[in-house]
Amino acid sequence: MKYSLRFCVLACFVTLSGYAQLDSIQRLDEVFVVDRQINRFSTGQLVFTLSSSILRDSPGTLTDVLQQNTPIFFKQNGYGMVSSPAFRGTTAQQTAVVWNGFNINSQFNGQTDFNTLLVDGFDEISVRPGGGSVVYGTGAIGGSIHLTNRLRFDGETNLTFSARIGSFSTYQNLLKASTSNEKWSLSFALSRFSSENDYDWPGTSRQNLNAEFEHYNANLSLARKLNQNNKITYYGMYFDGDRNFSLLFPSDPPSSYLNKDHRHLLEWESEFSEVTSVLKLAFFDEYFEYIPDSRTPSPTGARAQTALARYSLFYSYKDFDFNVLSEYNYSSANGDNVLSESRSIASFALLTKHHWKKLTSEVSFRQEYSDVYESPFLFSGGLNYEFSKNLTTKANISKNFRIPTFNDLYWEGSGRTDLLPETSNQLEASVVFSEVENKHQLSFTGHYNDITNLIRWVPNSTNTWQPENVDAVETYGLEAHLTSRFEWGMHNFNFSSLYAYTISENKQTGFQLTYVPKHKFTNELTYKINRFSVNLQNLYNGEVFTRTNNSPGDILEDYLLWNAGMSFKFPKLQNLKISARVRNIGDVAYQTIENRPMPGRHFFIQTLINF
Amino acid sequence: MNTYFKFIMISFFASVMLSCTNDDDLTEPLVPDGDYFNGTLILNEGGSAGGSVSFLSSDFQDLSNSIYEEVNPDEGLGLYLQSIFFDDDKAFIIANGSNLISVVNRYTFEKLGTVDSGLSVPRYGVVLNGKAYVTNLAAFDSDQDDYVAIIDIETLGVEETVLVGGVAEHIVSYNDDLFIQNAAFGFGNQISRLSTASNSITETLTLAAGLNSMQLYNQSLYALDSEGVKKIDPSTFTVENQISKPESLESVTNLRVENDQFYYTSGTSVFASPVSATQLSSEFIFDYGSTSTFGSFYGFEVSQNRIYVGDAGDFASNGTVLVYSITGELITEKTVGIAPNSFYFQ
Repeated sequence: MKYSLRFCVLACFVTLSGYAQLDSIQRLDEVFVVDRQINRFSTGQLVFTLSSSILRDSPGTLTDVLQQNTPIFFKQNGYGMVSSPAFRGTTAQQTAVVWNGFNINSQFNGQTDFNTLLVDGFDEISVRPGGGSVVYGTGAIGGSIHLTNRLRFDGETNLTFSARIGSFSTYQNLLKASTSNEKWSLSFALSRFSSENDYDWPGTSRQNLNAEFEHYNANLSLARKLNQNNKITYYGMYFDGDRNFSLLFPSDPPSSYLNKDHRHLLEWESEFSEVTSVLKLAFFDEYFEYIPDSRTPSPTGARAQTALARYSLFYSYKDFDFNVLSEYNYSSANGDNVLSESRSIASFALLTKHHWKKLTSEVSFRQEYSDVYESPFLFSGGLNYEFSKNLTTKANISKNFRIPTFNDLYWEGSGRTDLLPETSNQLEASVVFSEVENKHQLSFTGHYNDITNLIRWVPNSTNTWQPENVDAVETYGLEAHLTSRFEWGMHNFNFSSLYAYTISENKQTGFQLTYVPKHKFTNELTYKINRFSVNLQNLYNGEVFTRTNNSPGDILEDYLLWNAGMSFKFPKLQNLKISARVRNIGDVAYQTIENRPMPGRHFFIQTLINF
Repeated sequence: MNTYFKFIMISFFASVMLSCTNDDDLTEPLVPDGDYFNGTLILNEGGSAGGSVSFLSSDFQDLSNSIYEEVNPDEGLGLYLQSIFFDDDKAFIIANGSNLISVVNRYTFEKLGTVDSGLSVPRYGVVLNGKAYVTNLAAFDSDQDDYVAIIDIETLGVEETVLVGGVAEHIVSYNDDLFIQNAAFGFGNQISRLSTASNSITETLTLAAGLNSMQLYNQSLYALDSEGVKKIDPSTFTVENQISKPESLESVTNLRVENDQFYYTSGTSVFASPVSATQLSSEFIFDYGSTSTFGSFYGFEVSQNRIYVGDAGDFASNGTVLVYSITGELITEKTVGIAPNSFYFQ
């Protein structure tokens, strides 16, 4: 009793002064993951992991998965439309999406539209709140989202097929196959998600119009062990999205948006006793087309291509882990409105980690050189200290950045090549309480972030809108995360809960940024008995301001949503699992962007079969 | 004869209207009923969530925002509200982003109907002989597809369209002719004449570059371009006279003519010159010191010895309306909706 009180007091202190993190537990022995840094070099930070079963059981896109399972707030122009994150109160460009170790935020606008990523084909998603530019480069300021494919050499063959049908003519299918022997490993996933998305706007007599979409995603991973020390791996992903943008008023011109992205990564790993050498070659192609009025199509589009070479050397010496990274990145873009230009970036990073008794410390640096803009010197320092098996504390300090995008640099008539990257200095500290068997874990994290040189498009003296390094933002807050597992005989309970308090202020005006809720919490309870399980979720988002001057009449009201699901397994029928889910049980009328209503109560039925 | 009679009637109605707002020295005239009778309508262009209309009472004390939504719950006026035109007690509110015209009772703001087809980025309108004539920009990358939509104001259907042959922006009527400013966003130098007898463009007059505003006043059409004010005889469609812009002012915009005075803006200042002058004055009445580069004088109007200024600020917070006396004293300042762009006097 005395102890726990002392821990609580300590927790509050550490939390107030900084920032924290949860370590994921992973078995790395038989599974092969190419993003090696996320688990090895996250000292002082927490990493939350979402398993493939969570991904397969969540209907929808990356937005749907993350808004329930992370503190990130998403604003969507109606369900399935453009979705932008606010992670720890930062802007949409300040969350990095990392695919198998590489940052895949758009070269054009610097952000990822979280409704153009289907997640059920991935094997794992990791979320690391806080800075990560030293390893993952631009945009890792609020945090990073890691989409991961895993390869196994265990000789097993698996085939999964899932079909989901939902309200508003929504269909989602997944076919996933993997096979391996001692030398080869192959994994393949194909997913499709489409919806008429013509839901009624709750509380009104109107309907969501022109919002249908159809997305395809394919993932292919292939690895070959050449000998005991050498391995060649290929990862590829292809996304094809066709989406209309919903209308605010029935007479609005019906617009649509197509995007086709493909990404390829080839890796050669040589592993010796203390040294691992990894050479990666990557090629990314992103293409979009926007049709402002589909009745008189005159599309505007653009394509960006990126070629990357990255060499990284891991070296372990006594209690030290070293990683040297060097990378060359060549990107080019062309299309309507964007000048045909290219950009080269060379970067070097050194990551070091040291273990000493119960203390793990890490110091990392990165310097980039670009032919267009000046890059700041980036660093990260982290500490983990294990007081006992039940209590770990963490602290991290880092400098991160977000580079100007192709739109910022080369937009026809407006782009400016004299822009500076946005920079962020941040600090976080965490306390993590865990029960010995990890059945219960509770963490508190305090974070502070000072962001300067924010790029905003403002009108210049000749009334042309141009990007400028104008804004400075200060964010701070608290995150709490609880996971708990109980077993009473045949009864299994899983409970998780998270809360985030976020302040994000424009330093010039002192006003909270628009569309950043001060409070967010989510809870989830799953009960399992034998083959049957039920699940209950809720999600609360506090009110958000829609005007930069925080005028009190212009807010989106807070809301509380409830979801529930149940599932039943038939082990004799190839593990057939049938589940049903209802979202927004209370039929709550809510918006995440002004005048963009989200769906009321709606349903899904899913069948999933494993061979 | 017929048109002359009509002109007399219009003048008569106009004078009644003007008197109505000037309520100090008149007993209550026979007026239509409605919450929004006595004061000024302010059109707020709005952001990506749609625009709104605010109402400022004639004593400048009371401001009501989003009056359309107040009267017509669950309804909206559309994206990017551009302008309002009137016919008797009907107001036609144009949303250029939604290709929509909402028709409301001018004084109660009750919805009467909509024009929701046949429009393509509608901009400005005017009513003549039971028809509404509305300019449309159509595709943004072409000025050859701009047109005037002719709308029956009873059925609210587009009956006919007339290609303008250039940019179609402001439109005013004089007798049976319409004059269309073929210039928008600071580019363009022409005015076209559209004959409503033949529904075709009959003539085009070329002025100097940077044509930005025009107004019909006292049987003359006044237009402001980069050289100054041009006085145009609308019957012969020729330039009668030019009042040149002073060298010291880089650019001059927002021409309004009221009480034999020109009013115009430059930077964040308001200027006035008598219509009889040979050169526009370079001495400002007042400078309102806006910090908004693009949003200063987003709306500007002069009426009844009051100068109305709409400031859009950063376009991401609500805009401000400032009312000044004709000599530049600030009378009131109110927060309205996003991007207030025009004023209409009841």
